[in-house]
Amino acid sequence: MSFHPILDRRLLFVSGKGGVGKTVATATLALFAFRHRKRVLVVELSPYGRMRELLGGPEPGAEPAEVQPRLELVRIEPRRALADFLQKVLPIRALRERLLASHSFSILTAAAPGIEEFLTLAKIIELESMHLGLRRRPRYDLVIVDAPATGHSLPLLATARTLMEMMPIGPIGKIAAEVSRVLADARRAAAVIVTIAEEMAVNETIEIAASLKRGGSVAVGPLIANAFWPARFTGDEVRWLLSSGLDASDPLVAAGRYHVEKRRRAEEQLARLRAELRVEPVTFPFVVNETLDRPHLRRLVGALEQAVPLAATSDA
Amino acid sequence: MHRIESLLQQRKVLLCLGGGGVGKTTVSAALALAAALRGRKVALLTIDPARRLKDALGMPELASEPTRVCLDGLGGGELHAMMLDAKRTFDQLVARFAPSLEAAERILRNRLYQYVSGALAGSQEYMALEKLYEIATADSYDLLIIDTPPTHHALDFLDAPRRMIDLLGSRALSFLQRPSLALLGVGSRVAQMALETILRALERLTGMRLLAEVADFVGGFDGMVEGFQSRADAVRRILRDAGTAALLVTTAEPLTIDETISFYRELDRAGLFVGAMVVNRTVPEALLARTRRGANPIPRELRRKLREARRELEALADRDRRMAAKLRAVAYAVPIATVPAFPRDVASLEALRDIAEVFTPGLARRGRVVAIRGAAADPA
Repeated sequence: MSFHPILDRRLLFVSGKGGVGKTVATATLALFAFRHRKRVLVVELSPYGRMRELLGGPEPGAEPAEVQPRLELVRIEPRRALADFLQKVLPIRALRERLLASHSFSILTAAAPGIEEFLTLAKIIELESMHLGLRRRPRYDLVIVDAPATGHSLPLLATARTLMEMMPIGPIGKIAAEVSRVLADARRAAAVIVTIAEEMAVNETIEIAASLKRGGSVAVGPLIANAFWPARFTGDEVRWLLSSGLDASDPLVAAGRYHVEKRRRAEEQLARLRAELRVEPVTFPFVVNETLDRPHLRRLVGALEQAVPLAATSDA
Repeated sequence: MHRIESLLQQRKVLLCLGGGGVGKTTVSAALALAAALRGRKVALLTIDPARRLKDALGMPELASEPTRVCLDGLGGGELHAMMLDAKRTFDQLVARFAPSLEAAERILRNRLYQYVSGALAGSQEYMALEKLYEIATADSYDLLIIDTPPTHHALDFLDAPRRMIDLLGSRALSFLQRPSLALLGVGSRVAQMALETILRALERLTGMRLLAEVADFVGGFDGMVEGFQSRADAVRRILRDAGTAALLVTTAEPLTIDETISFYRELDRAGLFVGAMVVNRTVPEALLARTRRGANPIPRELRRKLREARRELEALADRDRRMAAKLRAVAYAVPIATVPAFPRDVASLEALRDIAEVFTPGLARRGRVVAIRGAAADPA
């Protein structure tokens, strides 16, 4: 049976180098799944998240809220995840708040690597595993996380395993084991890496994919090449445009050559991704946009519908 | 004089700030080249240059010390480039401030230190500023240009030393030894018990050994905090010195422009002088020149496509202009330069010079003039 690398999974972490369009890609994946009748939860992890501007709905908070039926948005702040945890072990509110506000406590949590990341991850898995009603069907079909830039995402995904190894028994160890079990299930969870077809971003993408594969904490899912320069011309037209006899000051020729060159460079980088990672990236077309708007997102969802690599793969 | 040019001529430290993926490294390199070609002795500190840029500058694999870039082909000038090696800079800082060799050794071997110095968010920023101090006080360059790690908030960068010192500060130690002291005024038995619960929970989360390492680590830094503190104060003074200016790099992407505007406001509030803004990768004006219809016999179908391609470039250029205007409306006193997107990677000094030309017009011509004069002055 064929396996759709997005729709047949339950948990996707969307990450990539800063400035490549992770948030837009996350929103696109969410709307794509929504169009396929999935119940979708979008998770943003930054207090400065801008998912709401893309999806609409009320200001996201610590509890999932409906953007429209079957599409929900939640904002988990690592700092809040720690507060939630403290609530369980320290029921006196005034003390809890005092502790959270305390300088020394923030030093301690900053110095003890991974606490906030782990608690955040545990919270995400908890949402993913939620069930509804008597027939115990999952509350969400797909949970999509707008993860931080790759430098910060890798530790996030690795914490569960590290903690599990440190504490094989006990309540935290148990949660850690469950979290890493869910993450490691390639048919259930995957990382979606977003990039643009430029040298530096591609370098980082190759690096993160390799490191995810090495670490084995989560499968590497579809790769998205965002803002991919469109091909406008046929091979013959390109040859004609590049031929030496032309008057280069002709504005139409100049525009054509600029396009050809941009496209050639983008394809070069796409080829590098293919060669290094042995996957066919999904390309999102470059669009001139002033603001993040719905029509733009619809075009990207359309691109996702037609993406050959998604239809053809069975990567799990 | 072009106003960015006057920054390059008169300032001693230029700090290039901006979000991720805007091309800060390339812009910093072009600024450094522009200043060097104008006769200043320039040091460039880059964070993570692309291989091709490194090759263009002739930088070796691990250039954590200044390496002179050969500018002979461009008419000469003195430019020294280096890469930030955060871990190494941190190690040197520890060695500098540790009371003894053994104390330094103990810290350098600590597992937590290895994590903090390499991976903890903020250590790169901190070390870039440390390197800034080192080079600025050595006073062997006319101008120091610093490329910075991408941040969401400008102040994250400038505050890095303070946050790091807080982290390393001795108060954490007292917290670990006598937790109740950390929460001043909460001396009751209930508070004590609550804190013990927390500590037990945290120990379970982190593992006992890690807590012991934290204590060891923080204890090791105890005698060094003052040294770190005074160094951080010195850096603050350099940042606010009249010889220092920040330069914001952005692209015309709407999200990035918004980010840049909030960067600008933060810096302005923090009292840091923003000397210029650079909008990178705009549509080259030359492409949009309204010239006569070309004489080329373009096939009909291709002509239609080319018109469409051109319309798209015009729309993009239009967006670029609107976004630059949006910046200007917020920071009306700050000069804004736009750097066109050259449809190729910056893989050579000549390509870098093309960008430098945007900041200091006439470089290419001047380069040739200097060369001719040089030849004429040579008696041989």
